Amino acid sequence: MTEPATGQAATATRTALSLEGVVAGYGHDPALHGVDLDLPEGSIVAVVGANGAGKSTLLRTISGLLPPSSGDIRLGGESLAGVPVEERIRRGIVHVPERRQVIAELTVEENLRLGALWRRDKAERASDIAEVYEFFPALAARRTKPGSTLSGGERQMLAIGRAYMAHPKVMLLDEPSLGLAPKVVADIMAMLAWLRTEYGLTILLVEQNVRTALSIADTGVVLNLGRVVATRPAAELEADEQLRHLYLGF
Amino acid sequence: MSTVLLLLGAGLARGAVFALFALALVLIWRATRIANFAQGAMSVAAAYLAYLVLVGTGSFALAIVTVLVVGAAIGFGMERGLMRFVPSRSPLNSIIVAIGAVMVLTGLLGILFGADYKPVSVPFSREPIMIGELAIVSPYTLFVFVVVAVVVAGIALLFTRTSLGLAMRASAFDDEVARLNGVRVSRMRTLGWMLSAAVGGLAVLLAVPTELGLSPHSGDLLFVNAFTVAIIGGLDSPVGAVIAGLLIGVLLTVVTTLWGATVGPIAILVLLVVVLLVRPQGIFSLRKARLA
Repeated sequence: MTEPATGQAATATRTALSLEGVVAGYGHDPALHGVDLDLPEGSIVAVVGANGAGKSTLLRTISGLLPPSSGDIRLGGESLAGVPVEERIRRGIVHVPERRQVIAELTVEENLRLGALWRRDKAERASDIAEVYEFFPALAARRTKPGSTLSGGERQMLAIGRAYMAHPKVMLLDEPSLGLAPKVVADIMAMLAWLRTEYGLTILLVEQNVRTALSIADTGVVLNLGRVVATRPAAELEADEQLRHLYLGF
Repeated sequence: MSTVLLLLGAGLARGAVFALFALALVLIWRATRIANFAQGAMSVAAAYLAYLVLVGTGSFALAIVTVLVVGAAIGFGMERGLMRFVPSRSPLNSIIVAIGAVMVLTGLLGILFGADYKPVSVPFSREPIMIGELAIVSPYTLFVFVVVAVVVAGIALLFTRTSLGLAMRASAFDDEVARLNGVRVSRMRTLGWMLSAAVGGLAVLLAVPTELGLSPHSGDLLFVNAFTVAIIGGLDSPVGAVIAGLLIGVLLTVVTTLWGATVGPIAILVLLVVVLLVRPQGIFSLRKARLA
């Protein structure tokens, strides 16, 4: 793949994950009003939008923490309706939630093991842990330390490493750059881009940090008050001043 | 000298049972954030069935197996049949339901077995072993120690060395992250109840011959003492439960011997008040307890 999968190329490849008219939220006023979304296999899609646009709700709905009141979510063409949260990681969806991504009471190594507990191939689990340490040497040095002792950047690395342990098809990330130093953000984005090229991983990234997200994404989706208001190739979206002013505030 | 050793031995043996029972409370607390007020009655129910086996076969080993299996079954029934339907909005809900369960269970035991104390024979001699002129410990005390040590070590290994233990801890600390990682959290909760009830039942069975005697209300006092132990050690801390259990066993024995039986509960109450004033999260709890 020389050209990243832009909106056009997407139609040619298979769809990893798709949402159709998804309505979801807490209480009477849904946070998502009929969201349609298509993630081609091996693409990185960034969902951007202001606070309260429904970005986190979107990810929680896909991972099953919040059942949609209508609409359908399909993984590789199969509907996920009625599939419980703990089953979805087995199907290939892994969700890296916002902020409290690691379990503070467990050690770094235990957090990593947690990501692959459901897998039966024990030998491979061990080699996967070694791989994560290779990519994030900072974690290797702290393998026996509890998660509570890690810095914000290390926690995010651990959360992504743990998600990797599940050998997912689709990775959902909620604000991975939140509160991190630019250097750390760059490292993490590099890791995501590498996961895509190396494993063909499909990534759905939710970010307030619009520039960073669009810099590694193929497609940008603008979410505003629970509705998709634009789906464009990332580069085009970044250049569209009007959209930026309207919804992204820069 | 001999008296001191005997007191220490008796105190530690008593404490070992407190520790075991407190450990059962801690296990449920960690797994579900429920303070299981029904634990005494559940454990006594399991002990009654073990008693039937003991009377029928004369084998204390079989009685232990029975108490573990029946305890686990009762734990399973309580969680699947009752506790999981209790709304967790207020901790009071589960406490009230548990107290209701206590009334039902003790009532049932009374109907089935009568309210009087059943004599339970000790499988080993209670006469202290003598080394020269020194009386050290009785074989039964030693036996209690060994059983408690094996169970505590087994639980420690389960939680720190196995995948199942990791899954149970992850569920206890952060059920959402655990579920996102594919851990079947509700199954882990049930397992937590089963494990806890088995351990609690074992504690009662061990204490019945020497300490409690078997009646539908045998578990009441043990529950009060062990609950204090768990609070003092830190409801979140299995290590705290064990250490605090041993300490309180010795304290209770020494105080009772020196000043009489009425002073014992008062001494424990004083200790509880001091701990709650100075370190409300418990002595061995490392961090502020997570609230569910």
